Amino acid sequence: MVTPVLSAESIHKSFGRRKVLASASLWATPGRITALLGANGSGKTTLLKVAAGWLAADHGTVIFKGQAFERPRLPALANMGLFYLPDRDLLSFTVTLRRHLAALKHAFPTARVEEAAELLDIDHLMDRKPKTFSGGERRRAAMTVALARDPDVLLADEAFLDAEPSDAGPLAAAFRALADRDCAVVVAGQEVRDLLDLVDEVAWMRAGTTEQLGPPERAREDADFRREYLGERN
Amino acid sequence: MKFPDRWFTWLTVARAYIVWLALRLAALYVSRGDPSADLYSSVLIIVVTVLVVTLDGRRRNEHFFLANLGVPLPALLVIAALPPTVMEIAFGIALRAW
Repeated sequence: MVTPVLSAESIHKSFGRRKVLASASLWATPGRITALLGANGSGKTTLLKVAAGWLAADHGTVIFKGQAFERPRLPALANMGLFYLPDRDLLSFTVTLRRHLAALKHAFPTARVEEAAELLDIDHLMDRKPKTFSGGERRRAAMTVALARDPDVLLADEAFLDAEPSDAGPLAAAFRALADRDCAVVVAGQEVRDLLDLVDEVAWMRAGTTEQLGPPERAREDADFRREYLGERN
Repeated sequence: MKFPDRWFTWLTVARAYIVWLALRLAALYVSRGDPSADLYSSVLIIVVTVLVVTLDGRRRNEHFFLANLGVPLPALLVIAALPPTVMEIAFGIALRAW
């Protein structure tokens, strides 16, 4: 069994009196794509934010590359090889994509910019500002930055956010390309069919906690998952 | 501490200069043309400039993007604080000479 490169363990988080996470856990394994599925409001985004160091947990530990963090910070984790794609725009809407990629190259000289731009077919957007992009183009541009970064862990919230059907293919190819480079990928989203076709593992969030369902075919056989999440009656 | 590349640094510096200038002009208007560069007003102008530039950077997603590049918030605060600090010192010297 491959050891996870990133794990968020026994995470508790409340907003005021509302308990969002109750002993939730997340594991990211090199070379594997894990889907974090769950109904709206089940805590997926909160768990990803905690694991990425963008939100402090009330209790729990994030372990990245063997180092335990009580209060991780995204810039520190990013320097160690983590990339977090949020459930909203990643890029500054007033700076061209080329400038974003130059900043990436400045921060990480080994960034694979040309290769990423080619895979996501984004060359024609290079000198435009993200405010002029369509939803799908924005997601592809953000994914280009993530792919060029060549991270050890990618946490992608709403992986196919605003993506049109024609964008889903290149995005899925980019996630798979990262996994093939031994990156640990965790994707959250509501596009269940697309995600189940893409991923190697499924984690299901309900009532603020996580359940590891294993490979997609095993998840599809889980009676509770099928009934409560997929809405199947039989 | 890791800092952003030249372009993102320049953007922050340019915005800080503009905000500083706007605040100084506002202060001049409020004081009815009587310029003051005492320590209290200078510190207040620097703090407000950094606050406005920081919130603007957040609004534009720049902080989130730069955090993914390993640039921490304190680095951005330092960049935003430099222009108003330099300008307040220059302004104080100019007032005394005048």
